[in-house]
Amino acid sequence: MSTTKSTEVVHESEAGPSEAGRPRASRPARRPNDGIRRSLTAYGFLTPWLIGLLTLTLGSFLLSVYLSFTEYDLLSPPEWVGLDNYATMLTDDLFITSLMVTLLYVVVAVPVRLVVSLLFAVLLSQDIKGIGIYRTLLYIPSLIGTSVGVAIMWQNIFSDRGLINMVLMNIGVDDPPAWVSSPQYAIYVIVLLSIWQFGSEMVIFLAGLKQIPDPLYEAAAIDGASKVGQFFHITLPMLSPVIFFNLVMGTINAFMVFTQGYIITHGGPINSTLFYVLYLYRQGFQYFHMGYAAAMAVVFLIVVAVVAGFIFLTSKYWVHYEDTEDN
Amino acid sequence: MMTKYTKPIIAAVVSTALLSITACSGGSDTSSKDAGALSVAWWGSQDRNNYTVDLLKQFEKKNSKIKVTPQFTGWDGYWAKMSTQFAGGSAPDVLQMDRKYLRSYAERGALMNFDETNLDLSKLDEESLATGEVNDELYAIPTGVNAIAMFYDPAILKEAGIKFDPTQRLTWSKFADIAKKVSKELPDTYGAQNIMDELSYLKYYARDKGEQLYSEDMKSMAVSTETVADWFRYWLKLQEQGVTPPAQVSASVGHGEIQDYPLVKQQAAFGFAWSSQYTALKGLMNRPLGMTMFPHLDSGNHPYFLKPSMYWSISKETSQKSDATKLVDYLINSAEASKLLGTERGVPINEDIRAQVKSRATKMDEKVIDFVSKVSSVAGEAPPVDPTSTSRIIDLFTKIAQQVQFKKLTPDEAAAKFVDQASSILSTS
Amino acid sequence: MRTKKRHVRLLGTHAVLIILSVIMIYPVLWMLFSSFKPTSEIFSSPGLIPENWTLQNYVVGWQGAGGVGFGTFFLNSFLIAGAVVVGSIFIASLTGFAFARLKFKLRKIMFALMLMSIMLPIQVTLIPQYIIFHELGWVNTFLPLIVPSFLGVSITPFFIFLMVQFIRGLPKELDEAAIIDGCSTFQVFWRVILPLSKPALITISIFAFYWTWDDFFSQLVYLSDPSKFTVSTGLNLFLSNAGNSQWGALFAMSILSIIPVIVIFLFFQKYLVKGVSTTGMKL
Repeated sequence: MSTTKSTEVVHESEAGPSEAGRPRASRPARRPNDGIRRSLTAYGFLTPWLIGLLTLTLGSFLLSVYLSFTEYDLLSPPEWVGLDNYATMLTDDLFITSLMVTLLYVVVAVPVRLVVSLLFAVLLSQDIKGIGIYRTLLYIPSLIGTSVGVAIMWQNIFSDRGLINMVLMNIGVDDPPAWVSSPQYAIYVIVLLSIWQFGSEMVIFLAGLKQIPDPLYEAAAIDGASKVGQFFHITLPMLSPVIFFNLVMGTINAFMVFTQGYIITHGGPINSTLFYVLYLYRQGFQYFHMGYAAAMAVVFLIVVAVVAGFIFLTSKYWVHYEDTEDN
Repeated sequence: MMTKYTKPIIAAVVSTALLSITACSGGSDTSSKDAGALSVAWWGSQDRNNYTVDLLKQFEKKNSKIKVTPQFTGWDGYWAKMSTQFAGGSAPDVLQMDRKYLRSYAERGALMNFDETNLDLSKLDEESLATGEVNDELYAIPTGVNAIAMFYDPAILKEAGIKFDPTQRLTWSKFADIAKKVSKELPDTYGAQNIMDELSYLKYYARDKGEQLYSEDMKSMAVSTETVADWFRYWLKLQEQGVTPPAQVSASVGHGEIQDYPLVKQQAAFGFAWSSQYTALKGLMNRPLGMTMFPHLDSGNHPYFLKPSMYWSISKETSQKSDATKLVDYLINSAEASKLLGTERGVPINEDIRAQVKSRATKMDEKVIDFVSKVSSVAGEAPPVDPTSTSRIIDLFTKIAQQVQFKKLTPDEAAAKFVDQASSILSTS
Repeated sequence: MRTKKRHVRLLGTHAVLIILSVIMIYPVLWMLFSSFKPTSEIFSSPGLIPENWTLQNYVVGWQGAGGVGFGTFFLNSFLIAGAVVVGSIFIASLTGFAFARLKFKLRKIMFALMLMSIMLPIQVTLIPQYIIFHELGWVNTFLPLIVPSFLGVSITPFFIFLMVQFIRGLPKELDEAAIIDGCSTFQVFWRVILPLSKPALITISIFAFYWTWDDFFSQLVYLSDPSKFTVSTGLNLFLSNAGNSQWGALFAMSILSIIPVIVIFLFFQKYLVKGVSTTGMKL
């Protein structure tokens, strides 16, 4: 199978250079062991990104780290306070609360969203009539973002006398809670909102599914594998780089959850949706403790990096790459 | 505003690097164009943005040498944008200021002291002007004033068989009786919205008890634990009796987000807000709406006070002090400007302007002006500008009040906790 | 017999998809119908369908504020989002290819750095970045919103990582064959990898466009002149504090603002349909 594939591409690339008229023939034969040259080529590709890294990324990172050792109220120059901000964190109840709230959100929202978007992607990858319309309809929720308009809408649907409770009361549930403003349930409304907006993961899965060569399924079908069997033995392994990607990015993004708590629940009731970044934002911009906020950001970076690093470590056991070498 | 060295170094590295990429350079002409223009920042909705831009155009016409660049946004993000601009050294010359942030900006040296300008203050109401003072220095000019108000739905009261006389001020206990009657007579209707978690109303209540919310030096709470506990008990009792909505409904009403009010949704007879919100409330309800003064304790104290709706301030770093002053003067004192003004930024504190605005006012504006005049006849001295950590204290109070509403804390525990924790926030900041 | 069974299955699939679509789309319908209600009806009456239909919200909303209308806001958003799409494709393909296929020193560390750069919340990096852009004289231009995407900053590390995963999913024999044939590294990238990465590049384009379209915080901070406002900062203008917001106009313009992104998605999604191959991968 692989020979067929490469032949085709070779044909393509044979035709290519002559059209473009590149003076390839004059080049000496490449020496694949030439490590330095390969590094140089690679850094050529990386130049734009390196410029961004060394200036904007590193610049703002170093400044943030510096600020984390200062007391900085945004309006007057920062004052060096050493490790004070980090020490304060240890005794700050709200810091602990916000960390716990965020972890709960990550643990619930990430896996559910991953499974839901994968299932929808499989459902929507079929080549049937009108599939584009369904995809678009199911993607629309992800396109409306999380603006104040959306917040109002969700408050209405999940409020005391909102749509959900109308339905529940009609089917005989007595006195259902006001979901969005109850300390036990508010965070799950936000989880639900995030699941409702599964579109970006779905699109990535769709692109991934498209990449799986059809002959694999055809061969499996000839061997008598069921649809379910094909899903577990072909789709999942072939899709694993993309699943891995969605898991890593989904986790990072879930840690970053901010807007929903900021505009739908205002962190409440009783701080039940006081997400980490929301608390950080309040400290920085509302309480004028940008130094503390910067210290929180540094801790945040470490926590997220450790979690993401852990996912990377597990990847060699379940992520299957076509290029087989480990990265 | 960072340290002396970090900024230029980073900027140098970044600029050389970035400018070397031909593909992406090619800007930089845009920002120089406006150099010398006077920038004015405010938050507001469409209506305010439109008439303010017109006002500024009028001002430019009169002062042909001054060019004004308006910078407006919604409330959401205005403060993040302001502090970023101040931190980055590109603050607007003139900015709309809010009571919650005034002390933070003033004490940290971000605002111009108006005593150093030649702004004409002669026509401004002194009492109101004092609300722009921080540590006895004037940093902000109120655009107008308003006051807390109790709103009611006359149709619901009538249906409940209540004869309600809005000219009579209610005591808190009389108010509770009326509200109770509403919830008893009408199914699915509450007497009132529960405002236990709103700090500005507690401030009013404390004044009625002869106390202030914050101590004079802003380093601790002045309100007594007993008063806070009373306040919690009062609203908790109404909640338990079903006169106000249950905790989880009250918790869904954001601060000042009147579209969530049970009153708006025809689920309650009474709601509480600022007088300046009358027009907005009316717009949301499209049915008769009454406005009257808050209940009181009949203590002989003067709990009521006029609150500045918002202010104009001048940034300390401005390079155009005299032009900026001219503009603020125009906005506050000019008869010509007042034609476009109305009461949208509060009832003007310049007596002449107020009279002119009133003479042209719509029915709704007139009602607001009359209400504010009525309040000013019973009002006491306005409290000093809130402390720098107001936002933290508001967040703390909301959380603790919600713990009472959800019965995680008793009123006494909660009151002690609030006074204690708020004081410690104040003392460390 | 077999076709009948297929028909039944197809019908079942359609039924499931229709039901799911309706549930998913209901909240959007709420916003759509609200945009045709007078403000007084939006919050005080619970029904979905307006009692009094009005187009007023659209008329009033479109005017924007301070003499600058939504036409300008849309144009600005298109300009910025379009440029960010170009930047994202540029940086994601170059950098993604290097990370996925090339061997070089410090690769793992570089990759970790790239991922870590998106783990710092913008709420903190905003001020340092603002200072940098202010020193460059770029504040109140589109540059701070566009240039970072060409340099792999802001949202683009996401795309680089996406590209890495996709390229690693392509069989390596392809490159090897091309190299044996005498292709330079750049030619392998340009003639072999890029054409095969179309689905990923389309995905990146959709996301880059939409996320820029939807971004609020940095547009709010960097753009001050109303004539430079974008759709998302324009929507923000309907929201004031103290309840003086214009909900009707907000909903109306929110609905209009998602139409371009829907159209773009509708147009591009067909490249993500399985079986309609455009890449020459068919055997």
